[in-house]
Amino acid sequence: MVAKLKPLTTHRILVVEDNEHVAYMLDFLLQRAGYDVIAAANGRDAQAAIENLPPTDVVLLDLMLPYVSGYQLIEDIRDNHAWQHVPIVVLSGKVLEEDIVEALDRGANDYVTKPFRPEELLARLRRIVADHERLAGVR
Amino acid sequence: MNRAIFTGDDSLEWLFRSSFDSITLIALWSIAAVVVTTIVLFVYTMGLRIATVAGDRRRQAFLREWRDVFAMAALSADAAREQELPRVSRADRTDLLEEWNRARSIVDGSAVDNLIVLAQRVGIPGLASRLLRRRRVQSLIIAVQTFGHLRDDTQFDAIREFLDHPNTALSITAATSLVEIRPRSGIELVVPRIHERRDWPRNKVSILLREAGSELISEPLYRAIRSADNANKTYLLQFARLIDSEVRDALVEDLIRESNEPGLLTAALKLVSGYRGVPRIAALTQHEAWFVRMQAARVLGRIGQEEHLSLLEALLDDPEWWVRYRAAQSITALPFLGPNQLRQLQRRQKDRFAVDILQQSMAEVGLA
Repeated sequence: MVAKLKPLTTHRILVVEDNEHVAYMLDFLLQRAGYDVIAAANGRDAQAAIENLPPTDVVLLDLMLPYVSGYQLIEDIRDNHAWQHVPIVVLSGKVLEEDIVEALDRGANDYVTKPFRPEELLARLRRIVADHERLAGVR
Repeated sequence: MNRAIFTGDDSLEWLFRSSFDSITLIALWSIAAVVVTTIVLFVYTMGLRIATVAGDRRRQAFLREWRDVFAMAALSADAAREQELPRVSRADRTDLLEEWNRARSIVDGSAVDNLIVLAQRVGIPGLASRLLRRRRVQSLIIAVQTFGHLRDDTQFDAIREFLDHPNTALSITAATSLVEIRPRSGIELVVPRIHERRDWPRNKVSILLREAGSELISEPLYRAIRSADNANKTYLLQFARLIDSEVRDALVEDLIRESNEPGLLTAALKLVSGYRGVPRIAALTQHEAWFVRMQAARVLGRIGQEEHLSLLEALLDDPEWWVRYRAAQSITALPFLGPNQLRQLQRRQKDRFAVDILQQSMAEVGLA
C-alpha cells in the first residue's frame, strides 16, 4: 500500500477545507500521492485563490465553509474564465440526496462524503484529472 | 573631645528623631517592598508564561509528530503495523487519545482498520480504560468515544450506563459509541430514546443514524414513529429521510391516512417522494390549516399527474398567498403542460389573484 502513495504525478490541487485536522490529513495524503497542494481554509481565501492564481488541475472542496459556502464557490469557479473547466470534487459531511444533487447541479464533477476512504478519494481524483487532461487535449 | 556613648535607648532614637523622618523612612521601606514584590511577581509571571509557551510548543510538537503517525497509518496497513512510534509521557496521554479520535473520525474503510491496529500497538485501549474509571465528564467522554472508535465490544455494557446520563455530550457520545460497537443492538437501544432526549443535537442523531445505515435503522425507526404520540411522531419524522425509501413511503402513507393533525400532516407530506399516490390528497388541498394546503400543492407538483391539475387550479385563488404561490409553481413545473397550454390555463382563470400568481411563477421560469 505504501508504494501506491509514492509520488506519481505533479498535478496541482486546490484544497478548500476549514477543519484543520481534515485539512492536515488531506495535505498529508495528497502530497504523498504526488499532488502539489494549495490550501484554503475558508471560502474567502478560496475566492482569492481563484481570482489570483492560475487554475489548478482539480479542486477538492468542502461545502460548509466560513464566509462563502462551497455551493457559491462552485458557481464562482464555473463563472471564472480561467477556472471554468477545472474539475471539482466535493468532499462533504452533507449526505442527503438533495445536497448531493444540488452540488452536482451547480457544476461539481464528483461528490465524496465524509468520513472518506483515502484510497477511494485518490482513485476518484486520478480518474477525474485524467478525464480533464483528455478533454483539455480535445479543446 | 566628644565621645558617643551607646545606650539601649539610642538604638531606637532614629525612629523618634522627628515625625517627618519616620514617615519618610516608612515610605521608603514601603516603596522598597513594593519594588521587590513587583520584581518577584514579574519574574514569577514571566516564568509561568515561559513555562506555558514551552509546554504549548512541546505539546504542539508532540501532536504534530503523532498526527503524522496517525495519517501514515490511516493510509497504509504496513505503516500501522511497523512504523516506529514516538514516546508518550504520562502528561500527554489524554492528548494522544483525543488526537487518535480525531484521526479516526476523519477516515473510513480500511483506514479505520489500520488506525485500530495502530491503537492496539500504542496501548490506547488501556489508556481509555483508565479514563473510564474517572469521574470527570470530559474524561468519560474521551474514553467512551475511544471505545466506540475502537469498536471494543468488552466495554459495551459499561458504555450503556452512560446512555441515560443527564450530561448531553456524554449521553450522545455513548449512543454513538454503542452503535459503532454493536450496530444492531446499539440502534435498538438508541432509537426509542431519540424523542425522549430532545437535548441530543439533531445533526449528531442524523449522523449516528446515517452511519448505521438505512438497512439497520428502518425497522426500529418505523416502530418508534408508529408507537409515538403526535408531537413525538412529528419530531421523529425529521429523521425518516434516512430510512429505506420503501419503508418511508409506507409509513408516510399510513400517517397521512390516519392523522388530521396539521403539524404531523405537514411533516409527512414533506417526505412524499412523488412516486406513489397520496391518500386523501383532494381532502388535504381543502384542509383548514393553510400550511397543509401549501404542502399538498407542493406534493401535487412533485407527483406531476394530469388528474391533479384541477386540484391545483382550485388552489390558485386560495386566501393564503403561499398556497397560491406553491400551487402556481407546481402547475408551471408540470411536465405535460407546455408554454401555450400554461398561457391558456392562465387566460381561463376568473380570479385576479390566480392570474397574477400564475404570471409571477411563469415569469420565474422565463415564460411570461
